Amino acid sequence: MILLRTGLRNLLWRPWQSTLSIIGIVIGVAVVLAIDIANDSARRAFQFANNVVAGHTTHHIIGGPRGLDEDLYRRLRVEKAIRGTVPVVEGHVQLGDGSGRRLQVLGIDPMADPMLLAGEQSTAGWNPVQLLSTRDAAVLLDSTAERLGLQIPSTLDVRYGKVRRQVRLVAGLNLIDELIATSLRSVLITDISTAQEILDSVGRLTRIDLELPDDRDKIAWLRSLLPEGTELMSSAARGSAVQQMTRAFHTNLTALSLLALVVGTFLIYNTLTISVLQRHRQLAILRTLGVSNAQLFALVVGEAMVLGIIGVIGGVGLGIALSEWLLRLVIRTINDLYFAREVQHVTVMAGGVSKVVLLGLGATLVAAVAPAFEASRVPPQLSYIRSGYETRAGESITRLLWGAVIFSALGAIVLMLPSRSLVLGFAGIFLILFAFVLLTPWLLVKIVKLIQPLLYLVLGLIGHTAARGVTATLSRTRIAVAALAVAVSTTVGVAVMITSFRGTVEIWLASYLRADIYLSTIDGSPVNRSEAALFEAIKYLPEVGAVSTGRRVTLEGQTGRTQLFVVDLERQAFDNFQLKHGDPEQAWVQFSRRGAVIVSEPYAYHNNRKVGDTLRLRTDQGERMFKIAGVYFDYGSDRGVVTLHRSTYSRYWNDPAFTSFALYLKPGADPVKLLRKLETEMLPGTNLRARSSRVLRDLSLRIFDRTFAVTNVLRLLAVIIAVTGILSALMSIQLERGKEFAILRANGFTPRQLWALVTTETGIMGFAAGVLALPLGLFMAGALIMIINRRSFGWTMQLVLTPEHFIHAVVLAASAGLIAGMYPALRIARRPPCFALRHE
Amino acid sequence: MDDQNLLVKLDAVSKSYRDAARDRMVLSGVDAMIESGQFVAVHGRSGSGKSTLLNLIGGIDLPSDGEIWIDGQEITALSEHRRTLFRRRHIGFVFQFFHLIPTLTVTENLLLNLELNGIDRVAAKNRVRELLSNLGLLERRNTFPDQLSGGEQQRVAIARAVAHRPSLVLADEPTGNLDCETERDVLQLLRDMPVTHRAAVITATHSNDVAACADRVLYLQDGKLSDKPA
Repeated sequence: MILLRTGLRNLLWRPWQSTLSIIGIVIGVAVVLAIDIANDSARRAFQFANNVVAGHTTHHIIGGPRGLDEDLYRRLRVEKAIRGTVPVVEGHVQLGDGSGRRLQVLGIDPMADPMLLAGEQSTAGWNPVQLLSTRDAAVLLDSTAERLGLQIPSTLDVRYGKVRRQVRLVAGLNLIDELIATSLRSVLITDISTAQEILDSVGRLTRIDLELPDDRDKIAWLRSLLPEGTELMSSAARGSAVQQMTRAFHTNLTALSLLALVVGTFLIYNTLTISVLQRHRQLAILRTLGVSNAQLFALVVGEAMVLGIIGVIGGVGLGIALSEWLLRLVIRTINDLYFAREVQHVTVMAGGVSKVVLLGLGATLVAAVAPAFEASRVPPQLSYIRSGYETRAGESITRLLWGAVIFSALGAIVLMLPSRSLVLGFAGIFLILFAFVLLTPWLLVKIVKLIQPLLYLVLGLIGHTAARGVTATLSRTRIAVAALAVAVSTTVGVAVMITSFRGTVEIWLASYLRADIYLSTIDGSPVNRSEAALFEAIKYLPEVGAVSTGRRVTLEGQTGRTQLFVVDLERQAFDNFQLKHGDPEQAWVQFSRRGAVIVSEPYAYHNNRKVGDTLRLRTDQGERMFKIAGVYFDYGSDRGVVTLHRSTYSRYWNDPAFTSFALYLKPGADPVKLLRKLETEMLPGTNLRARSSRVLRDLSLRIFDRTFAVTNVLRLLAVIIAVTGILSALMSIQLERGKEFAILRANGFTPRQLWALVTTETGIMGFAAGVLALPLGLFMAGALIMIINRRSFGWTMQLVLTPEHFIHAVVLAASAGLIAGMYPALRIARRPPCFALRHE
Repeated sequence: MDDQNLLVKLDAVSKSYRDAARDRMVLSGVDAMIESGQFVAVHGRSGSGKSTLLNLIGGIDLPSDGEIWIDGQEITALSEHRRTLFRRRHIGFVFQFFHLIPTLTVTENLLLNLELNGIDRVAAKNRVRELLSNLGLLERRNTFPDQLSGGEQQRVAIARAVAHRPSLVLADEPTGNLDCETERDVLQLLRDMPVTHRAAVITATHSNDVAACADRVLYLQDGKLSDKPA
């Protein structure tokens, strides 16, 4: 107990350092928890949206781009008497109030649905038959109605494409199960026929849900009943295929948040190590008095755990608060890139919190092991204190250099392994980071030696003494400098990665969006007949030279979702697809005349396909093989796209619809003028909108920036952790040397000179860390671009380097160093020297 | 010498340090026997190896050669951990620079040793009270070391050294950092230890005044220990 008190008082007597360390842990844990909660809430939102309708569903029957013929449901249910079948119609509509808000329409069979509308789930007073007995009837959650300012009963205007409809809100649901309620926040429930009418898909179903026994024969029998172009897949496979879409996105966010925790952990290590070094004499006394090595080990671990527990408690609180804000960023990105989903509130799961608590405490424990071991090795001899330790620190440089070589070699081997594992990728990066930490003392000494003459020239004796001070206290300075260098390099790495990615996307967009004007349906639905007629009119305008049409289709299958992009274009427009692999001429011939497809780079990467290979697609005529004629660069989808010529698509699918078209103007035609004409004369009142390629480019880049908003937030948080930690470390180092500075004061140093000395010293450390962060940051950027992003998304990116990132890094680190020196400098300079000499 | 009273036995103890790529012999074949209840001064000049000798006897360092026996136990044959436990139980230390734990109050500094030895909390508190009372430090019991004068700190250090009733107290230049008057007080306390606390005291000193108070003086010169000055 008494021993523990020495540890606790050590923490209490250094309130600044302890508080700063705790802040490091608080932010580290908060970031990990917030990202975990945000990721989990986003994932659960998707799961619930599926499961709430699925109930006990085990399988789904899915169709092609236009869904399923509803007659299939009748045949299965009535003719084949298959129980447990539930038809589902799904789609999105806009509210007719012009607010742009969207609701998901969910058409179900109230009599067949297994759980959603059962009495057990909703409060009394609601009868599912109301959906059938009232024309255009719909229900939504009471809370949703309240949010949208709707009365129940009342009517609600909704719009799908150009068609407006009015539905009658006959009841408000007040579900008991909060999780299901969460998933239905933005859902309008109707019966099947109403949903079909609203979504302009009369006679079609989105899918049929089934509850089947675990009986292979029965499943095989059912499969045999299905017509060409439909497929029976298990719920688990479908769920996991969709989860797969966002897995890399979530993994990357988790990894970045863990990086924040790693920086935090390194700073705890830093604080504890410096604290142990500062207390070497005290620990030696304890050893002399009979305290065992194990007890000293436990003492330091105990101190760390006190910091850890306080930090973790604070981190959990802050994490939950942060998560709601981060969730908005995460969901916005998922909506931009993957699928529309609305989640307004985070779901904090006890399991997730426990996991992060354990992670935080585990990280603290890991950070404490090395300093605790160092403490336990303190010999009881009191004569063997500072100088001996500094000598050892100096002597260890060569050993550490060897360690750096070994770890960097290990890291390089791990990174070069022919693997697609993200975990291995991050492991390799961390090994190299560790190697760099081992290399820091050697590099620090070299840098200081290099700048020492300059410092002498500019600052005279103070500059010289400050530089000597950094290398003379290498045991402490090396850790602080390494910690700052790692933290700053992380921010450099992430910043360079984002800039490179953005630069690559900009180049790609310039090549991809070569048409002058793009038209598309506002809500992404296929154009209807009148819109198609309008398109024909536009096509023959005198300004228009050539046109191409596009249709985006998502095919579901056992192996996941495949995005198809169906284009009808001329040879010239085919060059918009910049081929990474494949000869453009040959690819065009195969693509336009021989039924081949071209695939995007992420598709080829994720599905391990190359030019000349084939891929299997489920068409309306059953499964068909398609040859790959080329692989093109594409940054629009991280799961990949298969692009087909319209003629090929028409051969296998009965779907003449398209969703967009591009206009290539004749030479001399003014795109701005035509755009204005379209916007004012031809498009008003339709479900079409026109945008110039420049606007579309800007929009894409805005979405890009939104996508990386969350990454930038994490980067900023890592910087805050790093700067806080470094303030703590550098303050400790300087405050510890009170006696040394007092001697200088006694010998005639003025407070101003002392102030200059201390801040110069911390400034040198900051500058050195900034310089060291440059190569490490460059490595981090390279690894993130070439390994992590490649393995996550399959994209190739160009490394774009701008001087600002590197200047920022050095300025940030040097400023952190200077700021960290100010408080101790002020304190030391103000203190009468006799005071420090007496008490040291 | 009566074997029953034999407390410390040094048998051909040598200690050398590697210094600038060569071995520097600090102690060379030192033999000595010290009885219980004696107040022994090890006299020598600065750098003669007095502190090294005390470190070896205290088990906080190991000789390069030879054996050291304390209370019938060959401490040089013990593992690091067993040596720590032995030191905790049988030996008390007093240092020139006091070396109290700065983050513990006077009472806690004394309680630390008792707690390490597993002494019951109530008994430990009574023992601390008794010691502080005897040393006139009861009023200062809740004070932290840096608020005490040098003399007070050394008295607390002496109380800490004897709190757990060790059979041997090692004092390394205990008065080297004190003024004359305080030196006399501290010396008296150490001098009384064999009687009041039934502990032998070995003090390292370069002061003739301190040596003059001892029951026995051992002179350390050129790495050798002898009963007579060279």
